[in-house]
Amino acid sequence: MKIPSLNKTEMLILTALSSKERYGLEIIDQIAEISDAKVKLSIGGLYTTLHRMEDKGLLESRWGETTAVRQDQRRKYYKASGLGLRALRETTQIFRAIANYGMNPAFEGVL
Amino acid sequence: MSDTPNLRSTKDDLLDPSRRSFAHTDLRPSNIIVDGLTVVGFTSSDSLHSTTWSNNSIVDQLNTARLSWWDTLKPAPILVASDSEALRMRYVATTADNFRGKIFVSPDVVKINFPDSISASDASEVSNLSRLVGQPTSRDVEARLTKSEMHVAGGSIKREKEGCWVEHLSWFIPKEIREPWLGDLLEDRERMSSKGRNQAHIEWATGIQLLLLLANRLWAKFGWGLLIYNRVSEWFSANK
Repeated sequence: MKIPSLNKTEMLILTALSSKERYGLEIIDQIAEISDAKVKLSIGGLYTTLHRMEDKGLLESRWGETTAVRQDQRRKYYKASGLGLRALRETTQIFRAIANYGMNPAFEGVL
Repeated sequence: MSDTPNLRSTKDDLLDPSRRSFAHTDLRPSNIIVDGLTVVGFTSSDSLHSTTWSNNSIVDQLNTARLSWWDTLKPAPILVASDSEALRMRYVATTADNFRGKIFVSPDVVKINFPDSISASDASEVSNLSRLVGQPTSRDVEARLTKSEMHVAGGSIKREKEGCWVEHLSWFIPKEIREPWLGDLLEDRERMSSKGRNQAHIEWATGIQLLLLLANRLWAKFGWGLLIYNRVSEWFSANK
């Protein structure tokens, strides 16, 4: 099966979901933490991306609980699928290779 | 506990006026859901006039009632403190100083979800953030209205109303993401509220989220078309 290529947001989401399943706000928080608060996703943007990633088979989801604050709107928990983890691994390897290539000056101070 | 009537058959009581446990008032009790807590009726030491009560929310009811002291009981955050024997409820009143009355709380198992916004320092009587309260027994709650006795940012009643306008504006959200999106948005508002953000900030942030989602949807629907159109027209103008 062809492993889909990932964009930056997809990589961040998969990284956030690689260790445990999370719902929307948790994913946003986790991404902010991973990116050192450089990336702050909007809820709308997040769900559009999550839905697309689920369609591509990169994520799996399940319905969760609701709380009074949410007014009967259930949480939806997402986790990285096997394909998602493979895609993340491959994309990360490519980035690493690029970064390592001749000590690429573009990555100076980043890695 | 007080000698208030057992409210276990609350629903029947609500439907059949003759079985009302609140005969000494003209107030028709009605289920009011407040943040997971079911308040089933009111009594008052004041005399009340006949009124029509809707089933929607305490806010509607208070607005409908137009009674002298109800008028003073503005929609306000409610805090319920719980322990094994009793529930205590306090309102934050905006104008009333001398409300006297009782509020009956559903005798059925009541799950009280304290919003994250309630911090322990605001309410020393809050024991747990979420707690299942007892078995069916009647409980009554003394309501005491004092000005700014405690402040719970973004009260549950208000939030219920706020959720509505967001819901009404979310028609363009595809069904598959509407529920989690809307829930997260409400939760986010609650968070902001607990962080002490003012209402204007919260409304503004919510509006931005809606706009971002709308932009996202529009881009998903028409973005590629626009890009292609742009490229094609560029190509044509370059090859004229």
